[in-house]
Amino acid sequence: MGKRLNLFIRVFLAALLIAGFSLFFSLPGSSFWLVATVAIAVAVGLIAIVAASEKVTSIKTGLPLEDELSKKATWKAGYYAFLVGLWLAIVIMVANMFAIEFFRLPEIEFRYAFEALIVVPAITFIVLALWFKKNGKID
Amino acid sequence: MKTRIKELRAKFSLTQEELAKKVGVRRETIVFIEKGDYNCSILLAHALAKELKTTIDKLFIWEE
Repeated sequence: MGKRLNLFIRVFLAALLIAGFSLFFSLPGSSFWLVATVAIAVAVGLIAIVAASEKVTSIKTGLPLEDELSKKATWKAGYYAFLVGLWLAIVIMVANMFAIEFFRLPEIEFRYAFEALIVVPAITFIVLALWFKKNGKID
Repeated sequence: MKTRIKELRAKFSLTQEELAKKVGVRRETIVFIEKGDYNCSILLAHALAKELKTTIDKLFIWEE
């Protein structure tokens, strides 16, 4: 089951990455914003449903929703999400510098960069937090 | 790190969920500790040892 979950998360991340880059580079601005807004709304809705079901289960069983392991998992996921955001910002900055100066490519617009810098670390955080909580190996 | 939690749970006829309730953690945390996947805090180790009527050094077996 662990290996299956691992594979599923890898496939999911790869699909997300491909879809993200495809949207980022191919769609015109207005469509990208529409798709991104709908995707964010769906993601928020799914997270709310999962959180509510966990809360109901917690109340039913009398077990806590959070403990030391889940808190550590959340902190570790947050740390990695921060690093991903930081590296993404550096990559965008360097790509913009080289794209304009050396390859005469168009600059990555601020709105795309801004959205990517919010969405990518947010998705990284959610996926990693779930992964660490399911896996338990956070040391 | 290996533990004797499973063995002592069986001795006191406790399920993972019951032990989790007694020490105030999620059931999954007990599963991970039992499997040796998660090294818990000294506070949780103390609570587990107390519930299973043993000591920390007897509950957890350190392996180099």
